[in-house]
Amino acid sequence: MKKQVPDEQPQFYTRLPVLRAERGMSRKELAELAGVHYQTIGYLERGEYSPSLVLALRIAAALAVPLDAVFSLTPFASMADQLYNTEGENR
Amino acid sequence: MTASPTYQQRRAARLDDPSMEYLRTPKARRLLAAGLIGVLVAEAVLIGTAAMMPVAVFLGGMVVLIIVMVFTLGGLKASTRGVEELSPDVLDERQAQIRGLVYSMSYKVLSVVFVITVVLMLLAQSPGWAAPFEVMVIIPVISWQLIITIPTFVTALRMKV
Repeated sequence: MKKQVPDEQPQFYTRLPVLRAERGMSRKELAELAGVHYQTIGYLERGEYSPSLVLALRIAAALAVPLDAVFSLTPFASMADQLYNTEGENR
Repeated sequence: MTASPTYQQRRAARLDDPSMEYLRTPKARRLLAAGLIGVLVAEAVLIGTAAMMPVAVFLGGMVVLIIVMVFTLGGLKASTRGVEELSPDVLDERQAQIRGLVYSMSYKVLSVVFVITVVLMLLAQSPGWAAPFEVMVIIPVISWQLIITIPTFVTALRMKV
């Protein structure tokens, strides 16, 4: 049987846990908005399940952010780095 | 007006009951699967020794085993949230994907069980063995029960649900 877990190299990167925590949303609440089982949100957050385009769009809409703010094929820079770098540029 | 939930939706809600969370660990699933195999073995033994006991004892034993089987199988299905038996309409995309994997794997296991059943039935009828009548009952009865529970075994023992 094929492995259900991804290979060592993640197939995609996600900011889902950070964005969800930022909005104070539980997995269950996000799951209800996205129309999936709450367990699926956990698998997505751990990068153990690749969502369909429709599900990815629904999650992005539920979090009110663009799709590429939630999922990416390349690693995300840390939020802290991004925030402080931006602030530094603005000064 | 809100539409009343369908049978599948009610069944999905029952199998996803949070109070059954303690059954959803790998250890609990393995124990339940072993329990179910144990019931099938006990059933085979009971059928095999039916001639040596009064009819009432045999029937009583079968009733007890069937009750134990219903609870064990129910527990096993609750441990998998029923992804193997529910309609894709009440599953999300990840669960539906698991359901597909379960059925493709179950198909292979089922083919093996079917071949073993046919070979045993042919051997039991061969002049070299002259198997007793009980064996001719045990083989199809146990195989049938095993076959209908294969998707649940596969889900419980091989899938991350």
